[in-house]
Amino acid sequence: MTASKSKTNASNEKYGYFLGCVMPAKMPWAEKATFLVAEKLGLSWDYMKETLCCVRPGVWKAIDPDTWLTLTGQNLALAEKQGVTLVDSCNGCWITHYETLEELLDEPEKMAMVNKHLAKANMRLEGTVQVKHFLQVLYEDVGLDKIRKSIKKPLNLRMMRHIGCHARKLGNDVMPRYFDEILEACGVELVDTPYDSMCCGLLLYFADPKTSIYRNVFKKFKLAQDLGVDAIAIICSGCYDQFDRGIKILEDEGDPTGQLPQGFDVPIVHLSEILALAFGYKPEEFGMDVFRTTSPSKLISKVEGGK
Amino acid sequence: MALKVKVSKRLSAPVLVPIANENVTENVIIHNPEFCTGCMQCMVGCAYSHFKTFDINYALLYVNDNPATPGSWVNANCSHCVYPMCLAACPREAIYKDHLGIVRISPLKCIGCGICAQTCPIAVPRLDNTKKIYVKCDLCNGEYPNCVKMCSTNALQLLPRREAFDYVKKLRGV
Amino acid sequence: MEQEKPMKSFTRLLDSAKKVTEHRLEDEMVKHPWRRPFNATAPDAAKPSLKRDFEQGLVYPITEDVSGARKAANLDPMPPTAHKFTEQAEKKREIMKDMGTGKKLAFDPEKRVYKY
Repeated sequence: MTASKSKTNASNEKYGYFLGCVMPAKMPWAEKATFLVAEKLGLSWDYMKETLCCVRPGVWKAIDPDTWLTLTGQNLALAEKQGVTLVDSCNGCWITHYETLEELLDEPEKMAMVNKHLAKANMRLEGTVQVKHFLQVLYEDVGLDKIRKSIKKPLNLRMMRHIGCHARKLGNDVMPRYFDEILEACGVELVDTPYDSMCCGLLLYFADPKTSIYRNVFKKFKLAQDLGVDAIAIICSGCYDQFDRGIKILEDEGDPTGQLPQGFDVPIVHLSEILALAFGYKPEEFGMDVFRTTSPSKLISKVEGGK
Repeated sequence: MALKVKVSKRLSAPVLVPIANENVTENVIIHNPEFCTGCMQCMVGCAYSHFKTFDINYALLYVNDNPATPGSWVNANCSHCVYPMCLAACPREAIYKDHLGIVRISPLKCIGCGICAQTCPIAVPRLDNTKKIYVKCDLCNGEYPNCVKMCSTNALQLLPRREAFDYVKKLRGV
Repeated sequence: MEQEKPMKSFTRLLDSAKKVTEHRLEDEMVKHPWRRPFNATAPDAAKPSLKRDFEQGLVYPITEDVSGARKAANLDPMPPTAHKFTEQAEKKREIMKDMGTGKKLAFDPEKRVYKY
């Protein structure tokens, strides 16, 4: 039973964008850019309201799987009540919703357990809700052709890509391929590195902060610095959280492993920002240079200069 | 693409290996390096379910950098062998196969000599520093293993023995 | 040598975990040296973020800085999440109470501390 079968009549599907924890608090630019992109592509796009934390799989799934299922069930029930297709751009949120839905549909006794607890809050989960990743919406529902047609200004940028672990759940040729093709459609030249598939280390931070930061994050930063790329393209807000933390740690404590002697100044940009720039929106429209740890001013001047 | 096989999430009965006349577990954990991203969630999940800590040094399976090709990962997890070398080598007969085919170390009999870790081809048993005995994977007592549950990319899979054998052969190109 | 030096940000995280724990394991070990040490259900590193999960339903708070940045990005200063709709977080707490999650993690919702 697949939880997110793509529908053919995508045009009238109502999408509810699930923000999660990191997006509203750390990436307002990506949030705005997503809305601009969705508007341009003519999707019926709105927030999914009253959302809670997706219930982080890395922590809750280990501590108490039943709580994980129930609390995710609350979010799914909300989406069902609002009558929207749940869209996540964070891989962590997506995997939580996708796996929970799959598991609950597979095992009726778990579903009964979840509904028993949800009844305390006057809620009920039927399991009819659809869960999609933002990439699936862009590639499967909108289509690459429409994205190509909407592009006004191809960007001549070199980028490193980081898609994140959970997006590989359906196989390496599903979402990683969508991600690459969409980026290439925007005119971005992707630089291949051996560490493309390496995890950002967010899930490991609680367990082993040194490996998480020095091995996973700093290695990627070093590669980006050495290759001289314009940006690191991401889709997952969880990964952004970890990169953000890595930059802050680099600024506060320096780098004892000696991988980044000159610091780090490569901006980390969300896919929606790249799309919004390629669609001809101005960086100020979604506040691209506000509230960031690494300034994207070089990237902005390159985009604006290349008119 | 990950292999899609319906597995029973809970072990019910062991499988008899015909010629050897030995019981083994129905399912076995398989690692596919093509999908592994080195997030180490399996180790975190294992450490938490057995020792109530997130410290990955407590984990009973191991994921490490592959020195041959940077950016890929190697894994060592117990496959609950037909003829376990650890079982054969143990001087106190502390290692045994239980009724489900799971190879276990009895904490009462183990003296912490470490022969099991030396004889195991991938050194799965490790020293528990507080109890000073050796500990190893117990396949989460026959429940759906936490490492597989936590794996973020389907790199770790629980597969029936037969399918797992063919899958690994295909992965190694044999 | 650098392996020995703890990471500052992680030390801060552990310190904030200590603040929300009533009976800390290290203190207990000094008071009762014969007692066998044990690991709490909620690991120290996860305690602060789990506490925020209990209290506001989401991991990160919306501070003034954040709402300022949201305004600069032409967004509503308060996101339409449980930050704004606090009754949803209330429901989450009810469900957690019903499941006994607080008890499992030894979290006392009135005092807002972990027992151990």
